[in-house]
Amino acid sequence: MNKRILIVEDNALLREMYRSALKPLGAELVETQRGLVVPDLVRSHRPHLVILDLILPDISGQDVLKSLRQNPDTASISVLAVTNAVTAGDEASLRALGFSGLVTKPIDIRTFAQTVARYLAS
Amino acid sequence: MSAASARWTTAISDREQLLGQDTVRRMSSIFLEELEAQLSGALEAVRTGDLLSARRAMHSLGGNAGALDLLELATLAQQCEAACLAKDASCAEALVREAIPLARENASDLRQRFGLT
Repeated sequence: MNKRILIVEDNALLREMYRSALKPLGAELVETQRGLVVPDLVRSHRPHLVILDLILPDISGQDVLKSLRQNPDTASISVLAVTNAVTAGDEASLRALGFSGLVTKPIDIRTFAQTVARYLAS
Repeated sequence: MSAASARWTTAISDREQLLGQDTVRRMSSIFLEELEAQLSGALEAVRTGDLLSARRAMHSLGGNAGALDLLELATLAQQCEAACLAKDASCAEALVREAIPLARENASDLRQRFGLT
């Protein structure tokens, strides 16, 4: 079965980078720039992993995660937070919120691809 | 060539190897397309005390800069974000003003490397 990844990122340049960085994994990519539509997209596409920017134009990444975790249909999906040193806080506090892991910008492409591959394999 | 310039040349070559030259060129093109609006938006926002908008503009700029290994600019943008979060408008404005010439210098380097206008 083809693995699917939902990318939630409003930054066009980063989406371009993700497409190329993740291409070798052979996963199907679904993209959105908006956080509010994520629960619907997760229900309709059933991705194996969500890569979620924490600063979005319409809602915070933390609130997107909360809505996913509150719904039994979407509660168990793996969600990687993408953030920078200013907004990250520490990884432990993000994990306590329910994030599966953290990717910090500037993104190291090799580490990023390896991290995503690990979540797809699990 | 300065040490910083040599470091960037090596880093961007590594990105090209990993992502492909076409992708990094497209990323550079997006950086150039968005840059002036981000800088003027951030400056206008800090001048008027709209630190939320300033933070968003500098967050976008910092994300773009980091993805192209423009680390000095990415760091300045993050510092500005932190100042906006701390509601320190004068510090945020100083950081935006510091970022402007650096961002334009970086833009010039990208134009030269990828033959972009």
